[in-house]
Amino acid sequence: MEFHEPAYYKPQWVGYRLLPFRLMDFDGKKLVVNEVGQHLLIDQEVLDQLVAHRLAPQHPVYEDLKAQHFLTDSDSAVPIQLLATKYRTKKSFLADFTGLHIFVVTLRCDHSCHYCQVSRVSTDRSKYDMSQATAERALDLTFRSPARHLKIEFQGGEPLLNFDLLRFVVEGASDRAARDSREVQFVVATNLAFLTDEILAFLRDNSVLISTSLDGPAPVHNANRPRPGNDSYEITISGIQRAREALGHDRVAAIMTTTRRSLENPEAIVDEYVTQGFDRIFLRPISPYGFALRTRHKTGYELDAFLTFYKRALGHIIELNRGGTFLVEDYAAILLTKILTPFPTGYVDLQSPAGAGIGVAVYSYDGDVYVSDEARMLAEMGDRSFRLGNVHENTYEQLFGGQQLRSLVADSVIESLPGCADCAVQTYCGCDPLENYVTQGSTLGHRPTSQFHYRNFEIIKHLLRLYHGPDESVRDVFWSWVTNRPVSQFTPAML
Amino acid sequence: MVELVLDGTLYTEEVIFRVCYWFTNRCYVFVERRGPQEILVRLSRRDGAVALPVIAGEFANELVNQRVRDGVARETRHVRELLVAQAFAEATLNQSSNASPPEG
Repeated sequence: MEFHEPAYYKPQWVGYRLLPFRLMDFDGKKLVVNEVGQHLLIDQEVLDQLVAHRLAPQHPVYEDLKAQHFLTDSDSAVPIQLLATKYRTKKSFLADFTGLHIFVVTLRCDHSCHYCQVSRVSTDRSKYDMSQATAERALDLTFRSPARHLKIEFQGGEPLLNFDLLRFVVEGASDRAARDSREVQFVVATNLAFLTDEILAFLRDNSVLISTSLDGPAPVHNANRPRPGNDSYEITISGIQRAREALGHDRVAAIMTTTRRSLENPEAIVDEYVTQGFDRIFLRPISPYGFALRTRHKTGYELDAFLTFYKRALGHIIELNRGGTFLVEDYAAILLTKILTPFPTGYVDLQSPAGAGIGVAVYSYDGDVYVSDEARMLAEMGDRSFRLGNVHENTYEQLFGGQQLRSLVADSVIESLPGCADCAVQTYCGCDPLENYVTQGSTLGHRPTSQFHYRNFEIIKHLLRLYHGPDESVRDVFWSWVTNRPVSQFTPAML
Repeated sequence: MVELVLDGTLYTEEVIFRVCYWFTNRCYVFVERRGPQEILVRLSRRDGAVALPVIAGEFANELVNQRVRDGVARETRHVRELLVAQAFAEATLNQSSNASPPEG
């Protein structure tokens, strides 16, 4: 018996159907991105043939387009099922609803940071502390969330100035979590100025993570974060060391805020993080809220200046990684996770619909409930448009199921927003209806003049440019951030 | 000011307005129907950064891009609706059995 030639057994090609994708010009080519974020760079000619159904199966790009779900040439439902699975994965954060609950335990603070988005009061005004009754009620609401994994973050002012209340919430939440068979993670955002051995012991025994601010080397940090004695940097560094000794090295994280003073010092700021033993840095721009708005003459800058700063800092970080220092830029890591994987990131400021109210809720010291920290900051400036209600006056259903939140969510579904609906990089991006409201006068926003759009669009393009550049080591660095392991730990199969 | 006379048989109103939208940061955009198959778009510069002929050229190229997007979107609309519907239909909602009962 003889077999036919292999070609005899190949299914007859009868053409292909397009699967959903969006496109844009990208450095002389076309960037095509499908509904779940898979992307390719193709020539104009290939695009023309593809959409005209004239692309031959022998074309070198054909199999890539098929494998990445831009076309299908069979009647099988598998491509649709795979896309649906990835789509569901990307949107899986919706099922948990509100996972992050921020407790603003006090407005008191000893710092006067120029960019502070909180209208903080001096340390001796205890009427700005959260009461136990308010905390108890906020816990009731927190545990109405369907999320199996909750995160409670303590903010202020300086939360350690109301440590007793913090302890009350941690103990109460832990008890409830144990009863509900849920997990709860605690984080305290602190300037470390009020650490005591008692506080550190409690944080250690209850697995509370510390998040502190480190804006860069001393001149930058102290200029941004004045306090009596002008020693914020020294206090922060000694606090970090002390906290690490008590809690463990990886239990202390730092974040920075970029101000005008930061712009000339990207490399120095990055090096400071390396010197202090951090393996992550989050290059954040300043937000247009709270005291930051009032001190804009000190802290504000044009967006292009921030993007220049960001690209310089990112370049330096990539070089450090190539030299063997594992340092992750968190914002890039979030975007790269969205670009290179179908997995959600949990980052509420870059998702669709926006995380305000549905991913995060803020319980202020007085019981007022806000859709985000930015909403609280707006309220401190006299605009309570994004206050959902009060823990003592409203039920869970009224707060989280009411028309106010539903309208906000509807205005932040980028799949239907003007400009975003057609955008090629839609799946990598998100929406900030509050930033739209503050900067443009409406939660819907105007994309062509939106700083949120411009900032994220430029950073996404920059990352794509680097990823598809000639240097493969950059791709290795990026994958090390996505997988959170140094390149040196990659297996041969991963390289 | 620069004027573009657009053939309504090549570009739908939806395509034209989607492109116009993206140029409203750099131009004042005036849209006028000239006839059953003719739409006039006038672009007036808002700032002095970029010359109008350049903007007009970018506008024309973006019309082509938008038309391709529109074609792909129309052709794949049902597939997109199907995969989104399938994604959410098969999602397992995380209903907490220990959640507190509704209030009041």
